[in-house]
Amino acid sequence: MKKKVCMLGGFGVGKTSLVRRFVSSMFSEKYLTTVGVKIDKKTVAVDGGAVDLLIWDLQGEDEARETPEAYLRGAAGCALVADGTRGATMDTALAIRERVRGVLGDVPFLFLLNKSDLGAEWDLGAADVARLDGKACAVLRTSAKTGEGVEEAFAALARAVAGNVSGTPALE
Amino acid sequence: MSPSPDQENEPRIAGAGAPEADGEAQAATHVGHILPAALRVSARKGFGLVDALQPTVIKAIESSARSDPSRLAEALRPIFGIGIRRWITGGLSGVAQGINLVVFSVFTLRGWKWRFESMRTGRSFPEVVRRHTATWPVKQVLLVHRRTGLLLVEVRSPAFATRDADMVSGMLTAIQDFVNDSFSSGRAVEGDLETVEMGDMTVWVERGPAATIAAVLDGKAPPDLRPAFSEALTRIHGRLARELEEFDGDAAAFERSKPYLEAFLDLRTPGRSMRILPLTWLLLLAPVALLGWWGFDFGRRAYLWNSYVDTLKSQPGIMVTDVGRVDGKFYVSGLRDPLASDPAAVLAGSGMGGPDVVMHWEPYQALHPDFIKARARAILNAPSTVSMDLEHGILYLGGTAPAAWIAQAGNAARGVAGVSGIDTSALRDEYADRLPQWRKYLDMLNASPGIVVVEHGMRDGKFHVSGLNDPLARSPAKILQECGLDARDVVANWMPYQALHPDILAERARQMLLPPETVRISFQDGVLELRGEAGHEWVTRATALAAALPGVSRVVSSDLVDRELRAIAEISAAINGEVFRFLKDSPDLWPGQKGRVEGLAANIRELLRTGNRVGQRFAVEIVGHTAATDSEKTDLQIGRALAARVQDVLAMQGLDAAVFSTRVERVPPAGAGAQGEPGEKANFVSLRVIRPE
Repeated sequence: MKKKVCMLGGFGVGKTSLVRRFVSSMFSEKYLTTVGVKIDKKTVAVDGGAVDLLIWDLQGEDEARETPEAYLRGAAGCALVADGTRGATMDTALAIRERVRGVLGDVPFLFLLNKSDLGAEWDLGAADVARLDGKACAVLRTSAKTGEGVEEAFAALARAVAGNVSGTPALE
Repeated sequence: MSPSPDQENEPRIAGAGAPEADGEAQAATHVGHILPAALRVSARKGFGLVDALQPTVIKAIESSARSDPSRLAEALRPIFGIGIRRWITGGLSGVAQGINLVVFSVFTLRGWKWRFESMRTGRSFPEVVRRHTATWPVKQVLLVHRRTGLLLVEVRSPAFATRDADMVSGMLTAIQDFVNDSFSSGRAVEGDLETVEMGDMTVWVERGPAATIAAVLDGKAPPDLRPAFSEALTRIHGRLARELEEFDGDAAAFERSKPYLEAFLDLRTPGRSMRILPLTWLLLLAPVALLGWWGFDFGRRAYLWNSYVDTLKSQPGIMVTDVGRVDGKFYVSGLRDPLASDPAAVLAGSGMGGPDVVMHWEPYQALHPDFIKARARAILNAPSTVSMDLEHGILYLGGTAPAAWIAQAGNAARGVAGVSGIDTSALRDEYADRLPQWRKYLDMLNASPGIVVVEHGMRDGKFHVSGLNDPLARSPAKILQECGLDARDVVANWMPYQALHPDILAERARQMLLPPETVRISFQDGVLELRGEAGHEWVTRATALAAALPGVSRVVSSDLVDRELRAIAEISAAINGEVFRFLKDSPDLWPGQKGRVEGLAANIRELLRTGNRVGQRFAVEIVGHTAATDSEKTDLQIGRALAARVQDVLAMQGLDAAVFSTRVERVPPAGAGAQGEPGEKANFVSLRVIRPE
């Protein structure tokens, strides 16, 4: 089973760092700044089976630059990444979610609140997390620096795209 | 408020009070609202939408093609364009390969070697070539799901190492999307990224509706390989259409497509050793070069032709009325004054080939001033010394001309087109100024001995004279100078002859005979007289030559003295007068006579020398005279002895004895007494010059 998943989010939220923490990359990260995408592969065990995740790490978005629709086509699920120390990146992630839904329809979204290691600077509260209700199959706090939540995040995404979503969204 | 286009396209409702129609419209609006989403869901979930729509779609296409074929053709045009381009490219490349194979087989040693192998083994020649030159260019083939970019199947040759094919196919899809997004700029573009080249490696991408084939090639691939990929892709689509449509990440079903892809790994094709040969390039490029040469030549000829026509148009007396091309040749026609430049001559200098040009000219009279003057000159037969100017139709003549010509010029000019009047006031009689000198010249010629004027006159502004001229007469050119006439104004024609004028005759005799200063020559009434003295040789030659001179009837040379003959006569006389006497009864000469011997010997030598010069031989006879007193015998002895004595004396002076002869003459006593000394016998010796036979 092969599934294409996309890593999406604003600039500097730590998408590439999360991927790097999760998988030893084959391609150079310079593709991100040239072609706008870098692709990695990770096989994840899911319920006795295995899913080959083809992870499309897409260049960060802002008002001036949107991810090309062509890069999104065929994705079975997406990981939306926000920087927990910058509340505004949550808005960006939600805006991206809406646009991606317009292209892909109702695919599973995983919400990752990254940089959990910077607890003192954390900028998101319970009200912010509540905004994600019903918009993600799972919401996880991750840290590319410490590895917190990374494996779990991609495992959850693998389960989601394999059609084995279990449990309700929960912030761990 | 006008209705919107959407509103207009909605089904019309018969009346506000028709509840059925109203319900139908509401239902249509509702269905129209959800239909797109319903179609998407059905397609994704595999509810058999394709099967359901197929008959309707096919009928719709057929109906569209029948009602407006151009619309469908326009829609398919991009596809046709791509297909046709590929077909032409592949075809040209195939032609090049075919020509190359023929050239290789005919013109290379290896070609003949393989042809022999073909005959020996029974294999076709192309097959033998492939066996020797084949390579396996296809290293890896990927079948990629187009929508997701996920790898469906991968086949590759064992020796070919590559990175993870899943990521490669994903990245390749991303790059294709990137290229499309980057260069389409929002426009619909024909085709997709088809080829990626890296050094000798090439990635060919062949896209189908749902799947893409990406093939990694090493080196140049045969041109017919790409159509083969396309065909394989079509077959895969045909066989796995449903699986492609419903693909959700499980690629197991696509194992069935492997045979199509693995077939490419077994492909063998002529490799690098079968390079395009130079001769093949030549054969391929020759038509291009010929076409280029033809184009260049066409352009060059067109340029030359335009230049030629422009030159014709600038020629006075030529009016071009039509220019064009007929039967592959250039054509020009118009009007031409006979006095204008010859168009054929202009053509010869233009660089155009004469056979390429057809021309037709109608004659006419141009009223260009130069042509009017040229016609006037021809009609008037004007001498070259006459100048012409044309102003407001008046022909002004200047320069010099014969008086008779001047008199008739005014009338003759009336017939010249473009001349309304003529002015001859500036014309002068060409001979008037020089007439006195001319007459003087003729008089002097007539007065000169040895010159006979036969004809003279004035013609073309020059004086003409002809006649006879003895080379010994005065030079007519010198006479011309004396008269003050310019030699350029006189045309003289003199025939040489020999004049019989006495002065000329005498002069001719002098030049022929070359007389010394001591000779005078005179001629009178046919008699040439020579006077004075000269050497024997000149006298002999001159008298003979003089008689042969034309006009000489007789030569008188009685007063001409021959110096040599005169000297011979004088010397002979001196010798003949010599007498030698002897003492009585003694052979000794009288005293004092020996002194004369030297002088006598000198005379004899001079006589012999002079005689040689004039061709005469002389001898000296020594005569011994004895008195006839004794017996005859004694007298003869004495006489011989005396003569011998004198001969000896002379011989002692070095004279040759053969010059002398001796004789004895008996003399009566009375005679002897008169000649000898008193009391002595008259014995003596005398000498006589004789000419031996």
